[in-house]
Amino acid sequence: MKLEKVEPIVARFLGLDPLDMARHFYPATGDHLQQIVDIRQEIISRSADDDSAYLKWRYNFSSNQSDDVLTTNRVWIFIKDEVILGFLGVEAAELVINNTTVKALKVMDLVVKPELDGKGLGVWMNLRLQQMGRPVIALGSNSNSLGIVSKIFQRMPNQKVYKSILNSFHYFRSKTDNKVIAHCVAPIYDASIFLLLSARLSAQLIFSVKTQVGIRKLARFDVADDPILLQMNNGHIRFKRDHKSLNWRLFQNPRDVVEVQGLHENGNLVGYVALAFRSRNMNNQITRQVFILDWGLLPDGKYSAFLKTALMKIQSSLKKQGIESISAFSYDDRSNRIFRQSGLRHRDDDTKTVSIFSNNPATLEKLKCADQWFLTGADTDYA
Amino acid sequence: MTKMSTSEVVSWLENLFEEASGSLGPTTTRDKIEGWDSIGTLSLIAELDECFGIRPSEDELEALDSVSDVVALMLRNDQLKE
Repeated sequence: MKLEKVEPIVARFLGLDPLDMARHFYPATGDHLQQIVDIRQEIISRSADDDSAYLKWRYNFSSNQSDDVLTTNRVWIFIKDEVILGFLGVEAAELVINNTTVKALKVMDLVVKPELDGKGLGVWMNLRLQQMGRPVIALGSNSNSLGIVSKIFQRMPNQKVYKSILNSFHYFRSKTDNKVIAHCVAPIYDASIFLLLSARLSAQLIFSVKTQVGIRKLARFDVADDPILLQMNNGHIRFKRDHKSLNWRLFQNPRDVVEVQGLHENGNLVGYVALAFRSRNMNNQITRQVFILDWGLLPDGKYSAFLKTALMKIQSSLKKQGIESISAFSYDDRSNRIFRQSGLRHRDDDTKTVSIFSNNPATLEKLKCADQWFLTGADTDYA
Repeated sequence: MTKMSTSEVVSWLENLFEEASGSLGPTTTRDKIEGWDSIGTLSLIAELDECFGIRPSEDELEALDSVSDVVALMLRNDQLKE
């Protein structure tokens, strides 16, 4: 579907001149924030309590339109008569492909007002973005945007979900109406998990890791960590990480409490695991879950064993803290293997879509190699 | 494109929305047609224009909600075989 074909049709729906469409589509400023919050609350039920703070963290709402709008994260709005009709979140990102950095755009949070549902505005906004000369990666989609990303992007396999239940009462309670059964089954399951984790950890420490892994909590990343961060996950197509982007993504999100554990060998950083802690109400009780938001690891094979050991130690610690479950998104074979061997199980609900677009055929060919991608929850809006 | 019969319009829509042959009928509504989403609507409008020279008004576009609505639109524009 081409922009030239779509534009006049959508313009007719909106009562606009097709030549005027682009003028109505631009990055939001602070003046638009409240309208965006209201629309998100109406359509995707985002709580208004913290949505404004979240959006201000995630996107730049600067009114300085002379900024290069493709170098910062912006909410692009389609506006007519001062009323926002739709918007999408666009993150300026850099992809690392075969040791080369390529500027790209990450798209998320596509929303169109319900009265314009099915009129093509979401399609037009995405096509317009695709004309900006950069690869566009759409990560995650909701029921509203799934059809669009499936048809105007190249769909890739979905991100996989791995999960381990650490304290199972609420899990079993959700599977049965009978509280007594959950009370009987959960302790047996929990004891089995404890034994299994202990056995795996012992085996890992005895047979796999000759050097002691140092796991130490990191308060934040430093500029001196950048060369090592760039090497991490080398060999994969990935979004570039440096101290600045990680400190922003992991430590400043107003919605998440994130703990980052650094993996050290002889005092040197060789990897990290970022854990996001969230609470939710299950059966009128607050339960806590942990999500492996992000991780990085130097490419040397021995460090996979480091990470597995770290993940098992982390699970043991979380279990003692009463955390209900630990989960993660995974995309590549190495990640699948590490999670599986650390006791996490692949779930069937692989619903996080990954879709790509590039005007450049050579870049598109590279991006299409799904088995070469490395993606974590930090690359998307994981919630 | 030459005028179509109702059954030909149904087949044409099946092809346009990438639905299985024989899966649509004159009374099938939009919500039962998976391929009739945003992009389906845009494709339908573009094809009506390109193939039959039909450019529905805004009200007509709003009212397109079933296969029979498309058939009726073609009848009004003298593109349906008697």
